[in-house]
Amino acid sequence: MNITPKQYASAWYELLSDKKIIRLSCGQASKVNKKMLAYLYKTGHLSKLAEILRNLEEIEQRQLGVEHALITSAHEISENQAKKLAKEILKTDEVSVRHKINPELIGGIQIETKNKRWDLSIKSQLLSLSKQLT
Amino acid sequence: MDSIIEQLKKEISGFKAEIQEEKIGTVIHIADGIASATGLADVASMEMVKFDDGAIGVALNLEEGKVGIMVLGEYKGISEGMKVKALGRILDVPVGDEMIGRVIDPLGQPKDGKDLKTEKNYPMERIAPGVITRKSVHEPVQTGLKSIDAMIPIGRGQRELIIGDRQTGKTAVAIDTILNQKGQNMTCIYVAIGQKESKIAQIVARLEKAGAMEYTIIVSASASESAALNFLAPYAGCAMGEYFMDQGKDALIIYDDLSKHAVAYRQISLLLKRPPGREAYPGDVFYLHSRLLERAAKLNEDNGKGSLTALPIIETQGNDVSAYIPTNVISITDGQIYLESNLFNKGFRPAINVGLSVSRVGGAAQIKAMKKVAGSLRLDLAQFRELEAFTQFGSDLDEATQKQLERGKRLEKLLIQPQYSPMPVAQQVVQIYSATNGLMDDVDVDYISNFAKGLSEYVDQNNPELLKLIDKKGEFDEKWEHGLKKAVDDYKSIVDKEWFVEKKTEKSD
Repeated sequence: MNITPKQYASAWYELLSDKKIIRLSCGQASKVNKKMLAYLYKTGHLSKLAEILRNLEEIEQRQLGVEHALITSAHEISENQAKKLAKEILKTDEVSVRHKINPELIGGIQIETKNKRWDLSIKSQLLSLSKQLT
Repeated sequence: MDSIIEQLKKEISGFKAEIQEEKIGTVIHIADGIASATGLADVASMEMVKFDDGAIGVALNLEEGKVGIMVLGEYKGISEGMKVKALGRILDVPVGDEMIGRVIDPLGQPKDGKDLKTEKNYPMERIAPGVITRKSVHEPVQTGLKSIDAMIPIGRGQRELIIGDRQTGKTAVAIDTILNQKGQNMTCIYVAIGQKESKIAQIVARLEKAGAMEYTIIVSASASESAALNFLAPYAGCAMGEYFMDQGKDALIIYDDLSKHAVAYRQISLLLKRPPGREAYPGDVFYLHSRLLERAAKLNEDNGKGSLTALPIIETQGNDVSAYIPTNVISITDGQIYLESNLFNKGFRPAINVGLSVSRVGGAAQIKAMKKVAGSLRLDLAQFRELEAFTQFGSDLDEATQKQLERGKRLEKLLIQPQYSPMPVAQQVVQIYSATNGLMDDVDVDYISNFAKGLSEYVDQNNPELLKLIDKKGEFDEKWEHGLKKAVDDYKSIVDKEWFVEKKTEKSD
């Protein structure tokens, strides 16, 4: 039978989220992971790993109802500030935020989720201004 | 100076930065001009996307969790993890009268480095005009080639396939047709798909020399360009043609050639991991061509009377018309012009096999005069071919057979026409009428071309009313026939005696 990456991912997630295991120590969870990887290697499906992990991430996000956001800013901002900005834009409380610094933006921030992007950077505003002037 | 700065200040102060929500995805794989991306949740099929490095793509494969994107043009700057933004519009191409006389790429950008400003955009893929909006083909497209205009007539709105091996003069037929559209109220679009740049340059130079670029657009996707552009070129050209059709004008589009188009599409399909079928072409390769050629149409009075005539070209391998793509396109089109390499090598150029070539709808578009003379031409040639095969076994022939054979040989010679010399239809009628009515029977076979050419010039100079009548009425009467017979006799009296069979034999006696 041909098992799709999605099926692998949901099986994996089920194993990890099993109440018993969650209560178990971190070592136990890594045991599950090891076994899963060994199985993938044995069946020759290791090449699907990237896609399986992508699916796993998606399932977790869906289950927990948390939105992942990447905030890119030109200068250092505090984590609280980043979280506050993300909450405001995404209009949800359940946000997990990663933060990156990219001086190319000149100023302002950029918020990215999986499917959407809000560009509040000086760079993009300058670009659209130049477009309007020409 | 002040005012410029003031103006600038005003514009800048008027600028408002808006927070825009962009739909994005992330590239997870890029190879051979095909990218896949996750995200892009609401993207539509054939929607344009823009990569963060500025490259443009088209979403083709919408799968669960990822999207297959065909990158248009250069893809070297795209890397894994790069963001890709949905532009929210279906792939389109600029159209307009401004494009006439230009060489452009399939995305509508000029290739000659000069500016091009257009106002309208048309979608590349469009549903063909429906039954209610159409009218059956009834106006002719004069190709200027005797054998085509007489026996395989093409009408405005028709789709006529030009098929043959490499080096049989397929492009030559198409180019001659463009050359002959001067003053015929026709906008021509030549779509080069996977051609050598040198060949395209040659064609442009030839069209420019003949003044044909004044009504021609060249859409060029050369062999060095990506498969994506090769795949889109015919649709882009078709959209430009549809613009003229919608204006109530007539347009002629040449797809040179659809075999390479199918190959480009096969490459894209295989890279998108669509399952291969016969000859590794994808399952929708028939639809690929049928949806394109269906867009050729003749519209009725209520819809502006415009037309789009399509001349697709297919290159066969070893004269095999029963391969996959040739049979597909033959079944889609309204007839085919079949070019043969052995005819070409024998010196019959254009190397059209008039026995195997057909035009299923063009007959209704032929002018009456041509219809009258072409009927006997076709019959005489068919009988000649039958007799020719038969007489290879014996030499004793009765006089009638002998006569028919001689007539046939002359007709075959008459249909030979050098490249880049299309002939007005009235001249064609004069020549074919003379040949089929025995007025050229006493001319030596070797001198038929010279005689016919001379006759045309003679009639043009001394009896222009004969040509004018055909041009004006499209028909001839008994008076015209008398006039022509007299003109031929007059002409015969002034030409070289060497050209005639009997007079030569008299001389040798």
